[in-house]
Amino acid sequence: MDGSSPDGYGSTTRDEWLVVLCRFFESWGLTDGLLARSAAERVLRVADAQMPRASASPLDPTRIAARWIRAMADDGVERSDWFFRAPALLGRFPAAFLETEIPDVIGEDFVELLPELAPRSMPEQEVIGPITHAVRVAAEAMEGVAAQAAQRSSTDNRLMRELR
Amino acid sequence: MSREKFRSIFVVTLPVVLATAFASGLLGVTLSRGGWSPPEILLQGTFTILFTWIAFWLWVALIGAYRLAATRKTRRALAELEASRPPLETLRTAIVVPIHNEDPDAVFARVRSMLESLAAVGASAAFEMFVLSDTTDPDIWLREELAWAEIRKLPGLSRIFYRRRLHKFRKKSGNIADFCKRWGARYEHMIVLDADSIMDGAVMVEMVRRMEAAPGLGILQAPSMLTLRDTLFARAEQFAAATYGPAVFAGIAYCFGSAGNYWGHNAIVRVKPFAEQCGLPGLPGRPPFGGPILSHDFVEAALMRRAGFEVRLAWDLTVGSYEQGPASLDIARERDVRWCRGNLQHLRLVFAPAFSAGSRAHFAIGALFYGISGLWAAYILFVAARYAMDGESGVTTGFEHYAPLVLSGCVAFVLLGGKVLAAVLAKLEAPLRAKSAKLVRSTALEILLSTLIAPIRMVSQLTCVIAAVSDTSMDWAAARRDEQQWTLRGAIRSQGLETAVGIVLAVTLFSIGPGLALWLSPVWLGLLAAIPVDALLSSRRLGRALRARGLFVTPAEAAPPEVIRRALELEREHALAPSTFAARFESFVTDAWLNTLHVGLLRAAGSRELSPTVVEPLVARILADGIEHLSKRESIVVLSDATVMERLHRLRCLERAESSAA
Repeated sequence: MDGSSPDGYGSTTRDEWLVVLCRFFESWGLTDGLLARSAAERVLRVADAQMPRASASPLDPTRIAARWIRAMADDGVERSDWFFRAPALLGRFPAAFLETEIPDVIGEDFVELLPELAPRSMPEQEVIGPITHAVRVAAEAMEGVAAQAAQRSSTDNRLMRELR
Repeated sequence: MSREKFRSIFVVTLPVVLATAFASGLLGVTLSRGGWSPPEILLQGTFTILFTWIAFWLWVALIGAYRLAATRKTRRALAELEASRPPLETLRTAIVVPIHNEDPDAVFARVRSMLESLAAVGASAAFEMFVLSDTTDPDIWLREELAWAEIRKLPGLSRIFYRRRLHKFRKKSGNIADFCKRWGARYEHMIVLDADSIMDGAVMVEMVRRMEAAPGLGILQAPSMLTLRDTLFARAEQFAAATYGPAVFAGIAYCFGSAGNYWGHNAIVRVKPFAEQCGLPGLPGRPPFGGPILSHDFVEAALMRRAGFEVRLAWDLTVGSYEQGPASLDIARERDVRWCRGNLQHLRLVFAPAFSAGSRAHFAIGALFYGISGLWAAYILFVAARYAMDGESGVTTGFEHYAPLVLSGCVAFVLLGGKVLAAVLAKLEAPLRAKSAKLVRSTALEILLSTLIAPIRMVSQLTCVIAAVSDTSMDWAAARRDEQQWTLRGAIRSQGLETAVGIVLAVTLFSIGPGLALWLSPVWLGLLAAIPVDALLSSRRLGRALRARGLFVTPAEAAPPEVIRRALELEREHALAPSTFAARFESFVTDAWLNTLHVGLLRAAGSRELSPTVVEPLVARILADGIEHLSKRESIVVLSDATVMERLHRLRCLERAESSAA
């Protein structure tokens, strides 16, 4: 792995990746330096192996490392429990972590920290003042009277036409 | 005629009207002996309104006191029955905690304590908690995320979520509305809390049960007791709320029945009708009476009533529901400015069609609460004017004997009669709270302090009304919850006006007549002493000393509820180590786990991705000089963009890797 990687890493050497990954694992609770380095080397091996398949977009080894951590910590019960459990698990059971298989693919959303959306519409209510209300009532009444008058006049017209 | 209507007319309104007619008639007879002068007519008018006001509240307290006494045994039996019911298990309720630039250590200590309290009653599975942040301070934002993550890491406390709103529309009401729009269909009810609220798990369970038992109940408001403050001012208020509150709450619940009010926190709300019927409109016209609704809770309660749902006060749940009161006169005034603006805006809604009579009454009472100070001030002026016009002869007309006596008698009855009765009942309600002698001494001291403060608050509230009417900015400042150290400079700034009014009033009254000045001495003396009184009231040492002597001790202090004790313990133990914003920001950039947490939260809430022309120069400045050279606003922009935060993380990692490799 010598190559370019997305999102700002640019051209990164293997040694630099090793340092980046060691720090990455350290952040996630794997504080033993030797184990972190061994985990980092394993990630780079997987990245090298997957490289030919990932022709469209270059691989980011930290994403592989994150996938690996999730594979170890996620018990599939609560959406984001694994994320909060992982630092403690990696710190306490590093050997178990290193024994975990690195999965090929993992879901689109790496970590879901909020529950699934369950939307409800909340329309703005209308609150009108007494004057507006009175004007509306008067307008409605006038409209009613006008409609009745129009109806009456059309009936009269019809009658007149029939009489003629 | 419905039972509630009969009750509101004959049990609530009629006695108040009769009492006011009697007292007002007595004053009228006294004043009219020498014919009616303009000040006398005005005096009569203001007296009638003021007497109605105090008679109403006395009557509410008396009704409540009777209700408390009459239902004591039944309530105890019901409480025992409730405790034996099986725990709630089905997830139906969200607990929402809207926050805005609050102390994260205190907020999350309370939140964790409440979650533990729910777990203790076996109800964890029935609730999910949302901390809904509108924080605008970048450092507090990061501290909130850290504090939330600390709780989230704990086993068994996974049902707590944190969401910071990126696109802000309206303040607290907008924050809650955003929650309803995103997750409203997930829950049957939501318990709305304030940042300083704390509720016992058993009380929250009980509120859910009451909502489930009454499908027509839209909002159930729990009374909240003031707690967790040490200043003398706050301790006196805490004592007053704990001692007189239960009777007043019971009275209010009786008077308003199903047309109760909502105070915006420590309440459970039925989500579906709330979302469908309580979306707040903007009011037509210009501020201060038009524009967005500032004080949302009263309006939401009125809209809920308009939709046909009941709004009730759970007056018997006075144990287990708490909040913090203001720590000093100055902070109380800031709160008054906010509330006053909101309540005066409600005047527009008093006559809006389709609201229930109860909702109109709440709007009117809320506005009158601030208007009443103006009436007291006007009353004093009219008394002085009449005295000035009649001179010493006023003494012989009988006015000097009757009007002050009637008013003084009524005020004394309200202050002493109502408060003493409530104190006796409070002792019966919570027999272990304090020895009777200490309760009597505390009540006497509270009466003395509230009398001393009354003229100061009269002037202060009057200035609030003027500020509210003249200010059109519609800015609703965040609540201040700190207990700042008292300084003379600060006191002169906050109480200077009151002192000046006291001087002018004293000089004017003495120039009119020493008799009048003597009679009104509690008013001008209180104002003259505003600065030293403020110093006394702001003193934590004095507050703690009184507590050590068993004075102003509330039931929540005599036997601290576990939820409060635990919250205090957690706040002490888990306070984040002091750090700078720059250091905290750096850890969110360099630490992969924290960076993932922040980016994950941004993406979940709908990350804002700004144009590179805005963000790129900021990124360049951070990389060159560090975050500390960015303004708060610029820092917020960077922190709000998930892509930028990820990129900064990678660039920083690379930087370190290069230097390590080298």
